[in-house]
Amino acid sequence: MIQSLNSPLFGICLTIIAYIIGMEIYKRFKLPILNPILIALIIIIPILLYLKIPLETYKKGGDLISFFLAPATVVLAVPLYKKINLLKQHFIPILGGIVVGVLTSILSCVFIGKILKMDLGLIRSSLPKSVTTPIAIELSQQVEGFIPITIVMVMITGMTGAILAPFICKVFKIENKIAQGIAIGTSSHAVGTSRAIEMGETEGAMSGLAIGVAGIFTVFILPLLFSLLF
Amino acid sequence: MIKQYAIIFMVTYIGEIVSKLIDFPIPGPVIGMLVLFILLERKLINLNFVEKGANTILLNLSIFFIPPGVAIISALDMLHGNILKIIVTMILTTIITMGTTGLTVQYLINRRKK
Repeated sequence: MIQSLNSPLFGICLTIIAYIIGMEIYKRFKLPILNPILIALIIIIPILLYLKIPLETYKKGGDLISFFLAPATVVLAVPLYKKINLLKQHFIPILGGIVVGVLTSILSCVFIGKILKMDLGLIRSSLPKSVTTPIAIELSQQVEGFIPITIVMVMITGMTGAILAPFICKVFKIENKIAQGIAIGTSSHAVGTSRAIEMGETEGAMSGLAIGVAGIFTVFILPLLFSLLF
Repeated sequence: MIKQYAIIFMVTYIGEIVSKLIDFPIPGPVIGMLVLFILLERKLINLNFVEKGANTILLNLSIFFIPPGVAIISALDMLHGNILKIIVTMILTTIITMGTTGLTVQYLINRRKK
C-alpha cells in the first residue's frame, strides 16, 4: 500500500480527480465562493493530513502537473494577441489605468499589511496577489514570498473581485464599460473576469485584456518597487 | 496538435534561456509569453499554429495551480492566527485597486472626449 503511494501516479490521479470534482461543483452552482481550486485543496489537503501522507510523496506527481505552469504562462500571449486591438483604440486611458492599478495593488498590500501588523513574509507573499496565478507564482519567488500562501491570496482576491465587482463599480461611480472591465481584470485577474463577462461583452473583453497587460506591468514594476520598499 | 506543442515548448525554453542571460529579474515564462506575443503580432507565426494547443492548456489552466497550492500544508503554522487578517487585507486591497483603476480609466477617457 505504502509503496504504491510512491508512484508519481498517486499525486497525478489525486490532483485530477479533485480538479474534476471542483469544476463540477463550480459549474453546477456558478458561485464565485465555490472556487474550483479551493474545493480541490479542501479535498486533497485533509486526505494527505488524515492518512499521514508526506507532502513529498504527493509532490512526485504534483510536480509533474505544475511543470506545465511555464507553457501555460507562455500561451497567455494568445488571448492577449486576440484582444490587443481593444488596447490600440484606447491606448492611454487603458495603460494609464493599469499602471495606477498595479501600483495601488502593491502599495495597498504593504500599507494595510503593516497597519494590521501582518508578518513580513505574509506581506511579501501578498505583493503579486492581483495578477494571474502563473505569473503570481513566479513573482512570489522573486520577492521572497511563500508560493502556496500567494496562491491562496490570489484566489481570495479573485473571489472578492468576482463577488463585489458590480457593487464596487457602483460605489466608486465607475459607469464607463471600458473602465469597469479594465478595473476588474487589473484587480482580480481571470476569476474577476468571469464576472465581467456576465456584466457584458465590452466589460468581459476589457477585463480579459487587462489580465495580460497588468501581469506584464507587474513583472516590471514589482522588482523595482520591492527594492525601494524592503 | 503535436506541432502546436513543439512551438509552445520551444518558446517556453527560449524564455527560460533568455531569463538567465539578462540582468533584470523577469521570469522565463513571462519572457516566453512576450516572445510568443511578438511572433504573433509581427505575423512571424500564424495564430492557427498555436491556437488549439493554447486553448487546451488555457481551458484547464487552474489544474496546474493545485499542486503548488497543496504545499500550503507546510505553512499551516504561518497561517495560524493570520487567516482573518489575510482575508481582510485581500478584500480591502481588491476594493481599493478596482476603484482607483476604474476611476483612472474613466477620467482619462472623459478628459479626451472634451
